[in-house]
Amino acid sequence: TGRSCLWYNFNDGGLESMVQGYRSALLRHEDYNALCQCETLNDVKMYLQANTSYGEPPFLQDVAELSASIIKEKAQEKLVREFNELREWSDAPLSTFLDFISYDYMITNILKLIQGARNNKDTLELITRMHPLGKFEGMGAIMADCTSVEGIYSTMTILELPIMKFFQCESDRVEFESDQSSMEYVHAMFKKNYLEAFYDLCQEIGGDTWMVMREILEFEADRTVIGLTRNCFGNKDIKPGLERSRLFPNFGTLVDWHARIADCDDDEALRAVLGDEKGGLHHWRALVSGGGGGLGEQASASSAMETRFIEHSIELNKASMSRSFHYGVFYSWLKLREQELRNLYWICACIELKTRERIREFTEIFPH
Amino acid sequence: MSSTQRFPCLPSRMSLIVFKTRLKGAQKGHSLLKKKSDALVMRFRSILKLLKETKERMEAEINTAHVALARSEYHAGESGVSFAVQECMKQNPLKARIRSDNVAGVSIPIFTRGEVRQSQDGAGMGKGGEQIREAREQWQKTLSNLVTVGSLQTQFIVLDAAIKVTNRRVNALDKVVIPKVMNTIDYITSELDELEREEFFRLKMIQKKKRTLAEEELKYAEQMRARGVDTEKSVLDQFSAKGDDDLVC
Repeated sequence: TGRSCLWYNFNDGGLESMVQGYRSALLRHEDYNALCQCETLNDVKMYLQANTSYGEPPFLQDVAELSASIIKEKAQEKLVREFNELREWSDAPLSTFLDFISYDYMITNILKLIQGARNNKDTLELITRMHPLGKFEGMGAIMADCTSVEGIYSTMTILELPIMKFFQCESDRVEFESDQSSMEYVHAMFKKNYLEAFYDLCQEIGGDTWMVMREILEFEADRTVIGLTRNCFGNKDIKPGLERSRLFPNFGTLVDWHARIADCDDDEALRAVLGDEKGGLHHWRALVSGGGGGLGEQASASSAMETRFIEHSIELNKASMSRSFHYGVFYSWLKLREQELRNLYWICACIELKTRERIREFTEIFPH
Repeated sequence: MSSTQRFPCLPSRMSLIVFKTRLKGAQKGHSLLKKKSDALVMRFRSILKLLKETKERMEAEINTAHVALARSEYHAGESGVSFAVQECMKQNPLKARIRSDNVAGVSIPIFTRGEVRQSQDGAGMGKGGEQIREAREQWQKTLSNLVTVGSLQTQFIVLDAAIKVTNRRVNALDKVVIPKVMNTIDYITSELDELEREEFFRLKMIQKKKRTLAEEELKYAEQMRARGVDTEKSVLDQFSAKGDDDLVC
């Protein structure tokens, strides 16, 4: 309603306009063209400094030797700076929403800590590998205590970290503490809990935010389901059926087919489920089998599918950014920027490795 | 020919025989070591060639592997890849086996790639699993190439050292031991010859001396006879017992 729009502008309008400003600074088709023409990483640096928002504040000024990972790191620092700025200026409920976005990275960091504890890694080595968006108060305390998985868990409980709710479920805790289950399994479990909680939060915020985020998160959940299934083919630790479906987020357009998808143990079966005319999964059939290639045995077909997923998620995020008066813009902006970082990294890696013929294998945000 | 270039020895028939045996042994050893060195060099060259080829091939393959890694990072994110890598570290996904080969008495190590354990850890389960698997395959290929290169490189080094030692021995025999023994033999023979000549000369001298003595004796006797002294008796007559008190008969 008009009134809620007014309140939206009153509370979060300034920040939204900032994000919209950031959006227009995203690299465009011409920028990618120019970047792909670069001969060296130095050219990339020059171009980014002269013609894009990366020049402000000075980008890569104090770097002695350029490499693809350094460029990525610096670009990520810029993104983190901007995101943290937004987070500091925001009030509830936007701040809660933004915090929730960063929980995803926190989970990854916690898992890195656990992995470090399992493999007896040095604390210092761990700090350097933490994702900067997922840094939180008390991480130092956990690191100091990072000798055992139980130690990490109890420190987390004492600190009352907000992300504890993703670790709370009793059955999950068992997985978490036993050294047997693979990291990927634990990660998938937490990711599922996270997505479900995020979904609930968006529903609570309601309004346009719910409308937009629902579509995005449902796609994210569906993508997770398909990805998990395809990556678990032939995996003896995570058997088809109930064990696998435990990892599926409990929402999304595919939710009614979860049981059937979980039973699939090869591409044929998965295609059969998704291609079921009665199922009404046209949308997914198009994504999975677009271009006639379908879920093929070849790596090219599967990577084409991944690319289509990326394209679709970009489309959703772009659509979200074109609407106003909702929090989805913040999420979408972050995701688009992350895609941009990945593209930048790919271009730099191709230049560094002299693989110019593959330099175009990324997905632009604004293709035309 | 200074004395340092030959072995210290007494010039005698006995030591001559000893050194002649020694020369024979040295020459035999020289030819054998020469053959060994040739065999090693041959192997060395073939390894060098193979090593060069493998290394050149590696260059392209490592590049491909890096591209595959970048691709998997593009899809799965840095953390996804690092999780997968860390998971792998719990076990040894690839073991290298070692056996040794014998080339002309030099045992050289050969590394071969053991079985690859296909891990079922579901790397990149969330996102980018395909790309991670592809990167893993590429890197496994690279790794087995690395094992080959490592094997060849080790063989290269071991053979290099062996060839150096063998060549040093060949040269030592050729340039030092054999000439030294020859010198010693020469020295001994020359000394023996010298001794022989001295002996001969001495004999000649004695003969000469004896001859002159005999001639003088003859001359003296003739002189005496000419003077009418019976040389046979005269000497004894000087010591006749008559008229000599000192003489006790």
